[in-house]
Amino acid sequence: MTSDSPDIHTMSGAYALDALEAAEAAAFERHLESCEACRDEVRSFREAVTSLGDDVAAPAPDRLRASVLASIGAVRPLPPVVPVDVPSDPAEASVTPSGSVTPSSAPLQSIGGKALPQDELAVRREARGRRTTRLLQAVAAVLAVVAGATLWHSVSLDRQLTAVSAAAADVTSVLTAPDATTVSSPVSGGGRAAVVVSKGQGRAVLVTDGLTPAPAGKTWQIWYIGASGTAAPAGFVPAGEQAAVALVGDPATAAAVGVTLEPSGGSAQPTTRPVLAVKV
Amino acid sequence: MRMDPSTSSPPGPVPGGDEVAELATLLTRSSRGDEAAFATLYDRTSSRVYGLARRVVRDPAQAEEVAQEAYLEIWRQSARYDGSRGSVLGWMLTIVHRRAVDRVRSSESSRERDTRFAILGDGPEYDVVEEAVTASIDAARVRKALTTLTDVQREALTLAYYGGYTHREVSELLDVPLGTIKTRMRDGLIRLRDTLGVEL
Repeated sequence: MTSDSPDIHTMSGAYALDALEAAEAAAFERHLESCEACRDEVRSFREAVTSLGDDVAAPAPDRLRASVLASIGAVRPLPPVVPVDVPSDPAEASVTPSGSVTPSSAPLQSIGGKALPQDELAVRREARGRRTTRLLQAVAAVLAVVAGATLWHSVSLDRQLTAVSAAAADVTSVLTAPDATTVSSPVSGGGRAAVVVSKGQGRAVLVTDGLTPAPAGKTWQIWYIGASGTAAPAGFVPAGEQAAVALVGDPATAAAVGVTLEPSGGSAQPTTRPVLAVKV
Repeated sequence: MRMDPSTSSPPGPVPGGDEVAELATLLTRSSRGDEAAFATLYDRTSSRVYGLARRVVRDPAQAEEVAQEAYLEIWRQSARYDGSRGSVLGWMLTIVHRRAVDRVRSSESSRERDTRFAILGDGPEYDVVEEAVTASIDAARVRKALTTLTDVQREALTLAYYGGYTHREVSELLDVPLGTIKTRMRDGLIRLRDTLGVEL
């Protein structure tokens, strides 16, 4: 189960075929970050696998075209992942991966251009760091919205807002804990997520960015996954382009945090393949 | 620019530089909210997207849902496509395939899947269910390439890719040890890649 077992390189084929379990795929993706040979191999396999699609091409029903084009009209494409860590709003604080809140004097890393690829690995690491930072900036933005909302909230929202504010305080407390550790991973199906754990507080927070909205009647459910693969419900991913939620329960006994698509209201045990599984 | 839907999306010629560049341009324009560009992207790719979804999930209605969800995701994620990690078509079909696989692996579908394997019996061939495939140079080329694989390589690849089975399930289905399956998948893809002359 370790991400660097000697035969991890042989998983490239199964990975390119989407034949790994979610946790294995997540482990292999971590391996890819540090193994250029596997990255190149997976890229070439993807193109070979794409050719397999040629053999099964079949005319799509005309109504599919109409419904696809109708649906995109109501959805805004996500912005690109910009390679510069400057919050657009100078009043907005950014939260670094170490968990400390810093003012908006973020360094300009590569404004107006691409980093030179002298060392692709270093560039990738940097990119990963930026993505994590961006996730945490998203949290800051969410918290700012919660704070701002109190200025114009209606009476009917009062109770909800009180609950949201309390939840936001939990999130902030974990994110700013001195012992906070962060693990981030792409989410299968789109977006990224990060799990921030404070062992001292016995709490964890899941941060998501760009997660595909759950279809009607479904919800993204969070799980603590034990070393033996047992799953315990740990809450739900809130709706929103960017979201953060404090998990239910102590992460101490969990080996990983997972997310699955479940019927609204949740399930007692996962019933679908996880879209996210990160070791904590 | 928009093609007539009734004649849309033939599988097209061997994907060459022209198609690769055109799809990349269409995706870039889509990422800026250009719906007409996305319509053309749809027309260029829909038979491959729908065909792949159909092949994996089998049920035409579910295949439509998978294709619809995949296109919506492609639209949303269009600005986040990274050209250094592969072609636009490869990126799109990866999204489609993952969604199709998620669909068949969900518990709702597990019963159907068991039935499906019972129908297939042992030693399934890659073309066991003949789709309404438009005859094309590409398909012939791929089939020819598949014949260069060993039986285990071909079965491991097709069960995983077209069947949506995990490597553990493929190992069980073929009664071959898991470690062997992993290496056969890799060997098979290396041979397929080299036979098809995939450019890096």
